[in-house]
Amino acid sequence: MSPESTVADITPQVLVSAGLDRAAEFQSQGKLEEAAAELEQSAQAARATLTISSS
Amino acid sequence: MLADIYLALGRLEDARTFLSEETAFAERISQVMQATGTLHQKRSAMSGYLQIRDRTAQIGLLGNPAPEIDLRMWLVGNPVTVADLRGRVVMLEFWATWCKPCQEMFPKLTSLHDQESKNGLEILAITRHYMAYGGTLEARNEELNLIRKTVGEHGVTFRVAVADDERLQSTYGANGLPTVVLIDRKGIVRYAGPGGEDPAFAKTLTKYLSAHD
Repeated sequence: MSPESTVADITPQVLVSAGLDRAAEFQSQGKLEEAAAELEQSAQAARATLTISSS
Repeated sequence: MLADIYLALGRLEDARTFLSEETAFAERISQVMQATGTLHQKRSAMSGYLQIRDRTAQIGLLGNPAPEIDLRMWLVGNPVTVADLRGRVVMLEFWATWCKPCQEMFPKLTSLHDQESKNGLEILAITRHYMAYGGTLEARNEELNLIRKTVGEHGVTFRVAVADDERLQSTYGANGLPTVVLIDRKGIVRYAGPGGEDPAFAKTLTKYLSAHD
């Protein structure tokens, strides 16, 4: 996410993608608990999109 | 990815719970895409769902007794069951003639078999009829000939079996290929995944080959 991003730019896809990037970074550093936490948040964000689109 | 991190952290139940939820989510996404998506989206969603379903089945097996194999056609070696091989470390290698990474595995498997057979490793390479030629008896024999030819070209010396249908692959979460399953000397599943260069595979294989109780 660039510093110029506006609130409107922060779609679920952006959030999930950024979370995956951070998780990969943590994983490469051997920080598995932190990576798991990032991925848990990303999974929640991804699942929420289906809830929104179904409602 | 998250399920594998949970596994690395020893959180098997978290991995199972996550994959169970993720399978339901992926199935729902796939249903939505089949109804509304482009051809590419339909394929991607279905592929994602099947991958997650396979991984869910694989992780569900870990720590549990290996489901029995009941295969009638053995192209190399005499017929065996998982129970027959108690006391040996069993490696199930699921493969297919059309799977290029599977073909690349054969020389490595042969080398592994040559090295570790004396230490108790038993490799069973399992494929199945995909009925790629239309489902007739002639087509089935043609497919079988291709399997025999592939096995012959690689000079395989470990057991090779052909399943009639997809049931065994589904049980072991091996619809995606190659898939490798390691079963310890007591018949318990200790690894299920892509095998090959996966560090967890090498680590698990070493651990259970050196364990003799």
